[in-house]
Amino acid sequence: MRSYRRHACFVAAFLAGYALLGGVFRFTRPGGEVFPVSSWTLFLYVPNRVSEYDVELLSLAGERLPEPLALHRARGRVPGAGDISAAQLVQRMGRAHEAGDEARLAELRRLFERRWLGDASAPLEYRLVRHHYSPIERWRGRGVAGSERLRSFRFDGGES
Amino acid sequence: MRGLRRIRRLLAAGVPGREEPLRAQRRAARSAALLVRVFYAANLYLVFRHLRLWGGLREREVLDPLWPVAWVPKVGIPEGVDALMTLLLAGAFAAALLPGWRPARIAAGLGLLGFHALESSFGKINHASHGWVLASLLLIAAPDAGLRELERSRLLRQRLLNAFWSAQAMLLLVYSMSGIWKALAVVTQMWRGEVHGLAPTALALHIAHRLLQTGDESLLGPFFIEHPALGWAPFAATLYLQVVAIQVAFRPSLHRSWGAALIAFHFMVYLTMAVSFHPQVLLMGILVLASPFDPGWGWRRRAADLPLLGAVASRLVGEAPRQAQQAVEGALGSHRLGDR
Repeated sequence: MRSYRRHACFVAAFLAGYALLGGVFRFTRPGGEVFPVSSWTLFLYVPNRVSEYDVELLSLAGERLPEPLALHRARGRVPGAGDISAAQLVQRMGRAHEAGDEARLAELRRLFERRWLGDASAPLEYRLVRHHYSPIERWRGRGVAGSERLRSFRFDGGES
Repeated sequence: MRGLRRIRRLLAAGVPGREEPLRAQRRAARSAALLVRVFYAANLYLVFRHLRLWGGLREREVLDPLWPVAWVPKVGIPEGVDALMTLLLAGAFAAALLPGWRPARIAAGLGLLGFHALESSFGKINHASHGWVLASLLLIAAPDAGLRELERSRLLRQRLLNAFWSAQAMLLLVYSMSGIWKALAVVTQMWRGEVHGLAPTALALHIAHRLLQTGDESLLGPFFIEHPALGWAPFAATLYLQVVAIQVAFRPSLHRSWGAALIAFHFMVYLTMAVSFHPQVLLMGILVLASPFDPGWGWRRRAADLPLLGAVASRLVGEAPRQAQQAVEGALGSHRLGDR
Protein backbone atom coordinates (compact mmCIF):
# COMPACT_ATOMS: atom_id res chain seq x y z
CA MET A 1 0.00 0.00 0.00
CA ARG A 2 2.89 2.32 0.85
CA SER A 3 4.47 1.85 -2.59
CA TYR A 4 1.09 2.53 -4.22
CA ARG A 5 0.78 5.81 -2.30
CA ARG A 6 4.35 6.74 -3.11
CA HIS A 7 3.72 6.15 -6.80
CA ALA A 8 0.42 8.07 -6.78
CA CYS A 9 2.16 11.05 -5.14
CA PHE A 10 5.04 10.80 -7.63
CA VAL A 11 2.68 10.77 -10.62
CA ALA A 12 0.62 13.68 -9.27
CA ALA A 13 3.80 15.67 -8.61
CA PHE A 14 5.24 14.79 -12.03
CA LEU A 15 2.11 15.88 -13.91
CA ALA A 16 1.55 19.02 -11.86
CA GLY A 17 5.27 19.87 -11.98
CA TYR A 18 5.36 19.41 -15.75
CA ALA A 19 2.36 21.68 -16.29
CA LEU A 20 3.71 24.29 -13.89
CA LEU A 21 7.26 24.29 -15.25
CA GLY A 22 5.92 24.39 -18.81
CA GLY A 23 4.11 27.61 -17.93
CA VAL A 24 7.06 29.10 -16.06
CA PHE A 25 9.55 28.32 -18.84
CA ARG A 26 7.30 29.91 -21.41
CA PHE A 27 7.89 33.28 -19.79
CA THR A 28 11.38 32.84 -18.37
CA ARG A 29 13.47 30.86 -20.90
CA PRO A 30 14.72 32.34 -24.18
CA GLY A 31 13.18 29.58 -26.32
CA GLY A 32 10.14 29.30 -24.04
CA GLU A 33 10.96 25.71 -22.99
CA VAL A 34 13.54 23.35 -21.52
CA PHE A 35 13.49 20.01 -23.34
CA PRO A 36 11.42 17.88 -22.78
CA VAL A 37 9.35 20.30 -20.69
CA SER A 38 7.27 22.45 -23.00
CA SER A 39 4.36 24.78 -22.47
CA TRP A 40 2.73 23.29 -25.61
CA THR A 41 1.75 26.73 -26.85
CA LEU A 42 1.69 25.47 -30.42
CA PHE A 43 -0.37 27.51 -32.89
CA LEU A 44 -1.38 29.63 -29.93
CA TYR A 45 -2.49 32.90 -31.48
CA VAL A 46 -4.41 33.16 -34.72
CA PRO A 47 -1.97 34.96 -37.05
CA ASN A 48 -3.98 38.06 -38.03
CA ARG A 49 -1.23 40.30 -39.37
CA VAL A 50 2.15 38.63 -39.21
CA SER A 51 5.50 40.32 -38.67
CA GLU A 52 8.23 37.76 -39.06
CA TYR A 53 11.79 37.35 -40.18
CA ASP A 54 12.84 35.62 -43.35
CA VAL A 55 16.03 34.96 -45.27
CA GLU A 56 16.36 35.91 -48.92
CA LEU A 57 19.14 34.38 -50.96
CA LEU A 58 20.92 36.91 -53.19
CA SER A 59 23.52 34.64 -54.77
CA LEU A 60 24.14 30.91 -54.84
CA ALA A 61 27.37 29.04 -55.62
CA GLY A 62 29.00 32.35 -56.48
CA GLU A 63 26.35 33.39 -59.00
CA ARG A 64 24.02 36.30 -58.44
CA LEU A 65 20.35 35.36 -58.66
CA PRO A 66 18.11 37.39 -60.99
CA GLU A 67 15.96 38.31 -58.00
CA PRO A 68 16.10 37.56 -54.26
CA LEU A 69 14.88 34.05 -53.51
CA ALA A 70 12.97 33.43 -50.26
CA LEU A 71 14.39 30.54 -48.25
CA HIS A 72 11.21 28.45 -48.43
CA ARG A 73 11.26 28.70 -52.24
CA ALA A 74 14.83 27.40 -52.58
CA ARG A 75 13.92 23.71 -52.43
CA GLY A 76 16.61 21.48 -53.88
CA ARG A 77 19.15 24.30 -53.63
CA VAL A 78 19.77 24.61 -49.89
CA PRO A 79 18.94 22.05 -47.16
CA GLY A 80 16.94 24.51 -45.04
CA ALA A 81 14.39 25.36 -47.74
CA GLY A 82 10.92 24.42 -46.51
CA ASP A 83 12.19 23.17 -43.17
CA ILE A 84 10.31 24.61 -40.21
CA SER A 85 13.42 24.22 -38.00
CA ALA A 86 15.35 26.51 -40.35
CA ALA A 87 12.44 28.99 -40.41
CA GLN A 88 12.35 29.04 -36.59
CA LEU A 89 16.10 29.54 -36.42
CA VAL A 90 15.72 32.55 -38.72
CA GLN A 91 13.22 34.00 -36.20
CA ARG A 92 15.82 33.60 -33.45
CA MET A 93 18.44 35.29 -35.64
CA GLY A 94 16.04 38.14 -36.26
CA ARG A 95 15.33 38.58 -32.57
CA ALA A 96 19.06 38.54 -31.75
CA HIS A 97 19.61 41.22 -34.41
CA GLU A 98 16.79 43.39 -33.08
CA ALA A 99 18.14 43.03 -29.55
CA GLY A 100 21.61 44.06 -30.73
CA ASP A 101 23.05 40.79 -29.36
CA GLU A 102 25.88 40.39 -31.88
CA ALA A 103 27.52 37.44 -30.11
CA ARG A 104 24.27 35.44 -30.12
CA LEU A 105 23.57 36.43 -33.72
CA ALA A 106 27.03 35.20 -34.77
CA GLU A 107 26.42 31.89 -32.98
CA LEU A 108 23.01 31.40 -34.59
CA ARG A 109 24.30 32.44 -38.01
CA ARG A 110 27.06 29.88 -37.80
CA LEU A 111 24.54 27.16 -36.98
CA PHE A 112 22.16 28.36 -39.71
CA GLU A 113 24.85 28.53 -42.38
CA ARG A 114 26.52 25.22 -41.54
CA ARG A 115 23.29 23.22 -41.03
CA TRP A 116 20.72 24.86 -43.28
CA LEU A 117 22.67 26.50 -46.12
CA GLY A 118 25.49 23.98 -46.46
CA ASP A 119 28.81 23.95 -48.25
CA ALA A 120 27.34 22.76 -51.55
CA SER A 121 25.72 26.11 -52.27
CA ALA A 122 28.63 28.26 -51.03
CA PRO A 123 29.85 30.88 -51.60
CA LEU A 124 26.55 32.64 -51.24
CA GLU A 125 25.04 35.87 -50.07
CA TYR A 126 21.81 36.27 -48.22
CA ARG A 127 19.96 38.91 -46.32
CA LEU A 128 17.83 38.92 -43.22
CA VAL A 129 14.51 40.65 -43.81
CA ARG A 130 11.34 41.29 -41.87
CA HIS A 131 8.01 40.94 -43.63
CA HIS A 132 4.62 42.26 -42.54
CA TYR A 133 1.67 40.51 -44.14
CA SER A 134 -1.77 39.01 -43.86
CA PRO A 135 -1.40 35.22 -44.32
CA ILE A 136 -4.49 34.73 -46.48
CA GLU A 137 -3.69 37.72 -48.72
CA ARG A 138 -0.12 36.55 -49.18
CA TRP A 139 -1.20 32.97 -49.78
CA ARG A 140 -3.49 34.25 -52.56
CA GLY A 141 -0.42 35.81 -54.20
CA ARG A 142 -1.03 39.41 -53.16
CA GLY A 143 2.45 39.73 -51.68
CA VAL A 144 3.48 41.30 -48.41
CA ALA A 145 2.21 44.58 -47.00
CA GLY A 146 5.71 45.77 -46.14
CA SER A 147 9.31 44.60 -45.75
CA GLU A 148 12.43 45.81 -44.03
CA ARG A 149 15.91 44.73 -45.08
CA LEU A 150 17.86 44.20 -41.89
CA ARG A 151 21.33 42.80 -42.65
CA SER A 152 23.22 41.10 -45.47
CA PHE A 153 25.67 38.27 -44.92
CA ARG A 154 28.13 36.27 -46.96
CA PHE A 155 28.83 32.58 -46.41
CA ASP A 156 31.96 31.13 -48.01
CA GLY A 157 31.53 27.57 -46.79
CA GLY A 158 33.91 25.70 -44.51
CA GLU A 159 34.77 27.44 -41.26
CA SER A 160 33.83 30.92 -42.44
CA MET B 1 -3.28 11.23 -0.12
CA ARG B 2 -6.80 12.39 0.76
CA GLY B 3 -6.25 15.51 -1.31
CA LEU B 4 -5.23 13.42 -4.31
CA ARG B 5 -8.30 11.23 -3.88
CA ARG B 6 -10.52 14.29 -3.77
CA ILE B 7 -8.96 15.62 -7.01
CA ARG B 8 -9.41 12.24 -8.66
CA ARG B 9 -13.09 12.08 -7.66
CA LEU B 10 -13.63 15.61 -8.87
CA LEU B 11 -12.22 14.80 -12.31
CA ALA B 12 -13.74 11.32 -12.62
CA ALA B 13 -17.36 10.60 -13.49
CA GLY B 14 -19.56 9.40 -10.67
CA VAL B 15 -20.60 5.96 -11.93
CA PRO B 16 -18.30 3.08 -10.95
CA GLY B 17 -17.79 0.04 -13.18
CA ARG B 18 -19.92 -3.07 -12.62
CA GLU B 19 -17.10 -5.60 -13.03
CA GLU B 20 -15.73 -7.23 -9.92
CA PRO B 21 -12.63 -5.12 -9.05
CA LEU B 22 -10.03 -7.88 -8.76
CA ARG B 23 -11.14 -9.52 -12.00
CA ALA B 24 -11.10 -6.12 -13.70
CA GLN B 25 -7.60 -5.47 -12.38
CA ARG B 26 -6.31 -8.81 -13.69
CA ARG B 27 -7.89 -8.23 -17.09
CA ALA B 28 -6.52 -4.69 -17.36
CA ALA B 29 -3.04 -5.71 -16.18
CA ARG B 30 -2.78 -8.47 -18.79
CA SER B 31 -3.75 -6.00 -21.44
CA ALA B 32 -1.36 -3.32 -20.09
CA ALA B 33 1.54 -5.80 -20.03
CA LEU B 34 0.88 -6.62 -23.67
CA LEU B 35 0.64 -2.94 -24.58
CA VAL B 36 3.94 -2.14 -22.84
CA ARG B 37 5.48 -4.88 -24.99
CA VAL B 38 3.88 -3.33 -28.08
CA PHE B 39 5.15 0.12 -27.00
CA TYR B 40 8.77 -1.09 -26.95
CA ALA B 41 8.36 -3.06 -30.18
CA ALA B 42 7.01 0.08 -31.87
CA ASN B 43 9.89 2.05 -30.35
CA LEU B 44 12.30 -0.38 -31.96
CA TYR B 45 10.66 0.32 -35.31
CA LEU B 46 10.99 4.08 -34.84
CA VAL B 47 14.63 3.69 -33.78
CA PHE B 48 15.23 1.69 -36.95
CA ARG B 49 13.88 4.67 -38.91
CA HIS B 50 16.23 7.02 -37.01
CA LEU B 51 19.24 4.98 -38.12
CA ARG B 52 19.30 6.78 -41.46
CA LEU B 53 20.17 10.00 -39.57
CA TRP B 54 23.25 8.53 -37.90
CA GLY B 55 25.74 9.30 -40.69
CA GLY B 56 24.44 12.84 -41.20
CA LEU B 57 24.51 13.65 -37.50
CA ARG B 58 28.16 12.51 -37.23
CA GLU B 59 29.12 14.98 -39.94
CA ARG B 60 27.58 18.02 -38.27
CA GLU B 61 30.14 20.62 -37.30
CA VAL B 62 27.98 22.95 -35.25
CA LEU B 63 25.35 22.30 -32.57
CA ASP B 64 23.23 24.47 -30.33
CA PRO B 65 23.08 21.65 -27.78
CA LEU B 66 20.14 21.13 -25.44
CA TRP B 67 21.05 20.18 -21.87
CA PRO B 68 20.90 16.37 -22.24
CA VAL B 69 23.54 16.54 -24.99
CA ALA B 70 25.62 19.49 -23.72
CA TRP B 71 28.52 17.04 -23.35
CA VAL B 72 28.51 16.07 -27.05
CA PRO B 73 30.60 19.00 -28.44
CA LYS B 74 33.08 18.49 -25.58
CA VAL B 75 33.82 14.86 -26.46
CA GLY B 76 33.61 15.56 -30.20
CA ILE B 77 30.44 15.42 -32.30
CA PRO B 78 31.15 12.12 -34.13
CA GLU B 79 32.12 10.34 -30.89
CA GLY B 80 29.14 11.79 -29.00
CA VAL B 81 26.72 10.84 -31.77
CA ASP B 82 28.12 7.30 -31.87
CA ALA B 83 27.72 6.93 -28.11
CA LEU B 84 24.14 8.25 -28.18
CA MET B 85 23.08 6.12 -31.12
CA THR B 86 24.60 3.04 -29.49
CA LEU B 87 22.64 3.73 -26.31
CA LEU B 88 19.48 4.34 -28.36
CA LEU B 89 19.88 1.06 -30.23
CA ALA B 90 20.92 -1.03 -27.25
CA GLY B 91 18.13 0.39 -25.07
CA ALA B 92 15.50 -0.10 -27.76
CA PHE B 93 16.53 -3.72 -28.38
CA ALA B 94 16.82 -4.59 -24.70
CA ALA B 95 13.43 -3.08 -23.82
CA ALA B 96 11.73 -4.74 -26.79
CA LEU B 97 13.13 -8.11 -25.73
CA LEU B 98 12.67 -7.66 -21.98
CA PRO B 99 10.00 -5.02 -21.35
CA GLY B 100 9.57 -6.30 -17.79
CA TRP B 101 13.22 -5.59 -16.92
CA ARG B 102 13.67 -2.10 -15.50
CA PRO B 103 17.34 -1.54 -16.51
CA ALA B 104 16.32 -2.15 -20.13
CA ARG B 105 13.52 0.41 -19.85
CA ILE B 106 15.91 2.91 -18.23
CA ALA B 107 18.35 2.48 -21.13
CA ALA B 108 15.51 2.90 -23.65
CA GLY B 109 14.25 6.04 -21.88
CA LEU B 110 17.69 7.63 -21.67
CA GLY B 111 18.44 6.72 -25.27
CA LEU B 112 15.26 8.43 -26.44
CA LEU B 113 15.90 11.49 -24.26
CA GLY B 114 19.43 11.87 -25.63
CA PHE B 115 18.57 11.21 -29.27
CA HIS B 116 15.63 13.59 -29.43
CA ALA B 117 17.60 16.25 -27.58
CA LEU B 118 20.33 15.88 -30.21
CA GLU B 119 17.80 16.03 -33.02
CA SER B 120 16.44 19.27 -31.55
CA SER B 121 19.88 20.87 -31.20
CA PHE B 122 19.83 22.56 -34.61
CA GLY B 123 17.80 25.66 -33.91
CA LYS B 124 14.33 24.40 -33.07
CA ILE B 125 12.92 21.96 -30.55
CA ASN B 126 10.73 19.43 -32.37
CA HIS B 127 7.68 18.33 -30.42
CA ALA B 128 6.57 15.31 -32.42
CA SER B 129 8.50 12.85 -30.25
CA HIS B 130 8.10 14.45 -26.82
CA GLY B 131 5.33 11.97 -26.06
CA TRP B 132 7.64 9.00 -26.63
CA VAL B 133 10.34 10.49 -24.44
CA LEU B 134 7.94 11.29 -21.59
CA ALA B 135 6.07 7.97 -21.81
CA SER B 136 9.32 5.99 -21.84
CA LEU B 137 10.51 7.86 -18.74
CA LEU B 138 7.23 7.21 -16.91
CA LEU B 139 7.14 3.54 -17.88
CA ILE B 140 10.42 3.08 -16.01
CA ALA B 141 8.21 3.07 -12.90
CA ALA B 142 6.49 -0.15 -14.06
CA PRO B 143 7.47 -3.09 -11.80
CA ASP B 144 10.57 -5.12 -12.43
CA ALA B 145 8.50 -8.20 -13.22
CA GLY B 146 7.65 -10.60 -16.02
CA LEU B 147 4.22 -12.00 -16.90
CA ARG B 148 4.50 -14.87 -14.41
CA GLU B 149 5.18 -12.56 -11.46
CA LEU B 150 2.35 -10.27 -12.57
CA GLU B 151 -0.10 -13.18 -12.59
CA ARG B 152 0.87 -14.04 -9.04
CA SER B 153 0.96 -10.62 -7.41
CA ARG B 154 -1.91 -8.18 -7.10
CA LEU B 155 0.49 -5.47 -5.92
CA LEU B 156 2.72 -5.83 -8.99
CA ARG B 157 -0.31 -5.72 -11.27
CA GLN B 158 -1.46 -2.52 -9.63
CA ARG B 159 1.99 -0.96 -9.99
CA LEU B 160 2.01 -1.82 -13.68
CA LEU B 161 -1.43 -0.25 -14.10
CA ASN B 162 -0.34 2.85 -12.22
CA ALA B 163 2.70 3.29 -14.44
CA PHE B 164 0.65 2.71 -17.56
CA TRP B 165 -2.02 5.16 -16.46
CA SER B 166 0.63 7.78 -15.64
CA ALA B 167 1.95 7.54 -19.22
CA GLN B 168 -1.61 7.93 -20.54
CA ALA B 169 -2.25 10.88 -18.25
CA MET B 170 0.99 12.55 -19.35
CA LEU B 171 0.00 12.26 -23.00
CA LEU B 172 -3.45 13.66 -22.33
CA LEU B 173 -2.02 16.41 -20.14
CA VAL B 174 0.02 17.89 -22.99
CA TYR B 175 -3.11 18.16 -25.11
CA SER B 176 -4.88 19.90 -22.23
CA MET B 177 -1.97 22.30 -21.78
CA SER B 178 -2.13 23.13 -25.48
CA GLY B 179 -5.93 23.53 -25.35
CA ILE B 180 -5.99 25.67 -22.21
CA TRP B 181 -3.34 28.05 -23.61
CA LYS B 182 -5.36 28.30 -26.82
CA ALA B 183 -8.53 29.05 -24.84
CA LEU B 184 -6.68 31.81 -22.98
CA ALA B 185 -5.41 33.13 -26.31
CA VAL B 186 -9.01 33.23 -27.59
CA VAL B 187 -9.93 35.53 -24.71
CA THR B 188 -6.84 37.71 -25.26
CA GLN B 189 -7.42 38.08 -28.98
CA MET B 190 -11.14 38.74 -28.46
CA TRP B 191 -10.16 41.48 -26.00
CA ARG B 192 -7.79 42.99 -28.56
CA GLY B 193 -10.48 42.89 -31.23
CA GLU B 194 -8.49 40.47 -33.40
CA VAL B 195 -9.52 37.34 -35.27
CA HIS B 196 -9.45 34.71 -32.49
CA GLY B 197 -9.57 30.94 -32.20
CA LEU B 198 -13.36 30.76 -32.28
CA ALA B 199 -13.73 33.03 -35.31
CA PRO B 200 -14.71 31.38 -38.62
CA THR B 201 -11.43 32.30 -40.33
CA ALA B 202 -9.11 31.03 -37.56
CA LEU B 203 -8.25 27.72 -39.19
CA ALA B 204 -7.78 29.32 -42.62
CA LEU B 205 -5.31 31.84 -41.18
CA HIS B 206 -3.33 29.13 -39.39
CA ILE B 207 -3.17 27.02 -42.54
CA ALA B 208 -2.11 29.89 -44.81
CA HIS B 209 0.57 31.03 -42.35
CA ARG B 210 2.04 27.58 -41.95
CA LEU B 211 2.06 26.79 -45.68
CA LEU B 212 3.78 30.13 -46.34
CA GLN B 213 6.44 29.43 -43.71
CA THR B 214 7.45 26.11 -45.21
CA GLY B 215 6.36 26.43 -48.83
CA ASP B 216 4.63 23.06 -48.37
CA GLU B 217 1.46 21.99 -50.12
CA SER B 218 -1.37 20.15 -48.44
CA LEU B 219 -4.36 18.24 -49.70
CA LEU B 220 -7.13 20.07 -47.83
CA GLY B 221 -5.37 23.33 -46.90
CA PRO B 222 -6.39 25.30 -50.02
CA PHE B 223 -10.01 24.15 -49.62
CA PHE B 224 -10.26 25.46 -46.06
CA ILE B 225 -8.54 28.72 -47.00
CA GLU B 226 -11.10 29.27 -49.76
CA HIS B 227 -14.05 28.14 -47.55
CA PRO B 228 -12.95 29.38 -44.12
CA ALA B 229 -16.34 28.99 -42.43
CA LEU B 230 -16.14 25.21 -42.88
CA GLY B 231 -13.09 25.19 -40.63
CA TRP B 232 -14.97 26.62 -37.67
CA ALA B 233 -16.56 23.40 -36.40
CA PRO B 234 -13.39 21.24 -36.57
CA PHE B 235 -11.38 23.99 -34.89
CA ALA B 236 -13.91 24.48 -32.07
CA ALA B 237 -14.23 20.69 -31.61
CA THR B 238 -10.45 20.41 -31.37
CA LEU B 239 -10.38 23.08 -28.71
CA TYR B 240 -12.91 21.11 -26.66
CA LEU B 241 -11.08 17.80 -27.19
CA GLN B 242 -7.82 19.33 -26.05
CA VAL B 243 -9.02 21.39 -23.09
CA VAL B 244 -10.75 18.46 -21.37
CA ALA B 245 -8.19 15.79 -22.34
CA ILE B 246 -6.68 15.51 -18.85
CA GLN B 247 -10.14 14.97 -17.38
CA VAL B 248 -10.57 12.07 -19.80
CA ALA B 249 -7.58 10.35 -18.18
CA PHE B 250 -9.85 9.91 -15.13
CA ARG B 251 -12.77 8.59 -17.21
CA PRO B 252 -11.76 5.20 -18.65
CA SER B 253 -14.95 4.90 -20.66
CA LEU B 254 -13.72 7.79 -22.85
CA HIS B 255 -10.09 6.71 -23.32
CA ARG B 256 -10.66 4.96 -26.64
CA SER B 257 -12.93 7.67 -28.05
CA TRP B 258 -10.40 10.38 -27.14
CA GLY B 259 -7.56 8.31 -28.57
CA ALA B 260 -9.45 8.03 -31.86
CA ALA B 261 -10.50 11.69 -31.86
CA LEU B 262 -7.00 13.02 -31.13
CA ILE B 263 -5.54 10.76 -33.80
CA ALA B 264 -8.14 12.15 -36.21
CA PHE B 265 -7.00 15.63 -35.15
CA HIS B 266 -3.41 14.77 -36.18
CA PHE B 267 -4.69 13.47 -39.53
CA MET B 268 -6.54 16.74 -40.03
CA VAL B 269 -3.45 18.80 -39.11
CA TYR B 270 -1.41 16.85 -41.64
CA LEU B 271 -4.02 17.11 -44.39
CA THR B 272 -4.43 20.86 -43.91
CA MET B 273 -1.06 22.18 -42.70
CA ALA B 274 1.30 19.37 -43.72
CA VAL B 275 2.50 19.11 -40.12
CA SER B 276 3.32 15.49 -39.38
CA PHE B 277 3.16 14.18 -35.82
CA HIS B 278 3.36 10.55 -36.92
CA PRO B 279 5.19 9.23 -33.82
CA GLN B 280 2.45 10.78 -31.69
CA VAL B 281 -0.25 9.02 -33.74
CA LEU B 282 1.43 5.66 -33.10
CA LEU B 283 1.80 6.44 -29.41
CA MET B 284 -1.81 7.55 -28.99
CA GLY B 285 -2.87 4.36 -30.74
CA ILE B 286 -0.96 2.15 -28.33
CA LEU B 287 -1.54 3.96 -25.06
CA VAL B 288 -4.95 5.62 -25.36
CA LEU B 289 -6.89 4.15 -28.30
CA ALA B 290 -6.14 0.62 -27.07
CA SER B 291 -6.56 1.58 -23.41
CA PRO B 292 -6.65 -1.43 -21.06
CA PHE B 293 -9.00 0.46 -18.73
CA ASP B 294 -11.93 0.54 -21.12
CA PRO B 295 -14.97 -0.75 -19.16
CA GLY B 296 -16.71 -2.09 -22.27
CA TRP B 297 -19.83 0.03 -21.79
CA GLY B 298 -22.39 0.90 -24.44
CA TRP B 299 -22.12 4.25 -26.18
CA ARG B 300 -25.08 5.80 -24.35
CA ARG B 301 -23.42 5.28 -21.01
CA ARG B 302 -20.13 6.60 -22.34
CA ALA B 303 -21.88 9.75 -23.57
CA ALA B 304 -22.88 10.54 -20.00
CA ASP B 305 -19.18 10.67 -19.07
CA LEU B 306 -18.37 13.45 -21.57
CA PRO B 307 -16.75 16.34 -19.68
CA LEU B 308 -18.95 19.47 -19.60
CA LEU B 309 -21.39 18.00 -22.13
CA GLY B 310 -22.28 14.73 -20.39
CA ALA B 311 -25.76 15.72 -19.26
CA VAL B 312 -26.75 17.10 -22.67
CA ALA B 313 -25.17 14.22 -24.58
CA SER B 314 -26.76 11.52 -22.46
CA ARG B 315 -30.12 13.22 -22.85
CA LEU B 316 -29.65 13.43 -26.61
CA VAL B 317 -28.43 9.91 -27.18
CA GLY B 318 -30.49 8.40 -24.39
CA GLU B 319 -33.82 10.21 -24.73
CA ALA B 320 -33.97 10.64 -28.48
CA PRO B 321 -33.75 6.90 -29.31
CA ARG B 322 -36.17 6.09 -26.47
CA GLN B 323 -38.70 8.61 -27.76
CA ALA B 324 -38.29 7.27 -31.28
CA GLN B 325 -38.83 3.76 -29.98
CA GLN B 326 -41.95 4.84 -28.08
CA ALA B 327 -43.27 6.60 -31.18
CA VAL B 328 -42.74 3.48 -33.30
CA GLU B 329 -44.34 1.27 -30.66
CA GLY B 330 -47.24 3.72 -30.44
CA ALA B 331 -47.73 3.68 -34.20
CA LEU B 332 -47.55 -0.10 -34.31
CA GLY B 333 -49.99 -0.34 -31.42
CA SER B 334 -52.52 2.04 -32.96
CA HIS B 335 -52.58 -0.09 -36.11
CA ARG B 336 -52.52 -3.32 -34.10
CA LEU B 337 -49.40 -4.29 -36.06
CA GLY B 338 -47.52 -5.20 -32.92
CA ASP B 339 -49.91 -8.06 -32.17
CA ARG B 340 -49.09 -10.09 -35.23
